[in-house]
Amino acid sequence: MIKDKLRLIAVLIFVYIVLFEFILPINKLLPKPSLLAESIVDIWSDYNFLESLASTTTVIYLSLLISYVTIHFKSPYLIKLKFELPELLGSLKIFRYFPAFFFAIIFIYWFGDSFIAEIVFGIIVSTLLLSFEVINQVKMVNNNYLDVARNLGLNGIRLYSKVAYKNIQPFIFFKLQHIHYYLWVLIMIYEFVGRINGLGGVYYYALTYRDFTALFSFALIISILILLGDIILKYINEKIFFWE
Amino acid sequence: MIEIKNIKKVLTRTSSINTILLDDLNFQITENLITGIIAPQGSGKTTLLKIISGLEDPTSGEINNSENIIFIPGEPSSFPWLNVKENILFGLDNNVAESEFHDVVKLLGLEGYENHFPNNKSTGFRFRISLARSIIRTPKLICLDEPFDKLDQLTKYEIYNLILKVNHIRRITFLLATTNITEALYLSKKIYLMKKDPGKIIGSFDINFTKERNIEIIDEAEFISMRTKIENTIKENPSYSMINFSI
Repeated sequence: MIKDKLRLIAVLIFVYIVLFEFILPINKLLPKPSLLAESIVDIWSDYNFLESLASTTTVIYLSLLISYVTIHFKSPYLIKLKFELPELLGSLKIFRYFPAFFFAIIFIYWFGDSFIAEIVFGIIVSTLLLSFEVINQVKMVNNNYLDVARNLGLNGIRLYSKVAYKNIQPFIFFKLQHIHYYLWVLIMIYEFVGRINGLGGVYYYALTYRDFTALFSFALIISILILLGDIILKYINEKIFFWE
Repeated sequence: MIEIKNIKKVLTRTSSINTILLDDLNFQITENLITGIIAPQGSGKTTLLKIISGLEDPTSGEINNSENIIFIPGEPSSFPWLNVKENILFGLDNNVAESEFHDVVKLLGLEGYENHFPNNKSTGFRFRISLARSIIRTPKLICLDEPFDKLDQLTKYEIYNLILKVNHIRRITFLLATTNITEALYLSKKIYLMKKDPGKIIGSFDINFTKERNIEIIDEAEFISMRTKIENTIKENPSYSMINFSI
């Protein structure tokens, strides 16, 4: 299976090189492979790429970490609330339909070019998305587990933290993998719109300079980073939350 | 002896129509014995066991001597995120002597599996964990809610014999709710028949076989005769159509 995938990737790269290096070296579709290779080296100095990369990845992974830790400790209360006041939390779902893009614009409007505001934005978005997932997953909690735990003497918040939350924890972490990709996109839009230091800001300047090759170089590096992040999250999910 | 007195359970649907699930249920559970309740599906067996274990309140009626009653549901209920040892000691805050833990683990055939996780394990294995978790608490009664439905034939008999062994060695009282006559006969010393719409006890049988209870007993005349007797009582009541007459 992996061999087949690698073979397919190798074929696509070969076709890309032949087509855009030799047959169509000047075009508006894809950059010439040799120029792309050059650009991957140049962007680090031309666009201060390392600092931008460090800034964006810090925002994304710090937001994910803080939101997950917050949800880890607050979920039992959320689950309890959902069990006891289902209508109240259900009505909060209306916020799911608000475009996250709107919140990004408002944050930029309120706080301007602020790194802290960007992190706060990332934390709020990922915490809200994880909270919605917790609320959504409450209906999946196995009632047999709750009955058994109550029968064995567990009640109150311990019942929700030791049983209900543990039951849905793999799904919550799985959702984190989705949020990971979503946050990458959203934070880059945030930086792009606000022209803030970060990968989104770098994209803004590359587009302004009409640097066609750089746009592809950024995408290539970012996709590798997202892929790596995804692999790490998947590994953690399989190793730690194996009971899914 | 645990006495179930005049238990009534009325369910209120969203349309405000009340349904009487259990009506005036009266029976006794003798200590140290296995008591069986044979009832059709949808008769309120699970609700009854939950009421007896204190997980649900009856609309009226009472259960005397009702502390420390353990409920084992039909579906696997060992927590998949805890290993066997953590499952067995769940909620006990390590207030159990190591020797007692080892005795229970050995009795249930879980020796060597203490660090294994029940996730992806067989239903029989998960039932053993649930049983170990129950008996380590030295309960007054263990309520079994059709726990053998998903087991294959061989595992079923292994688990039946395990329950008989636990009952014999630990003198633990069991209440088994089932739709399966053979299963109830194989395990119980006393069987109650319960009808549905509403759930009510309509008969009882004392089961005293002269021979030891093992897989051969189901072909013995006394077993077949008792089974026929129960089946005939059942056939007189149309609400028993859901009972499984075979093993």
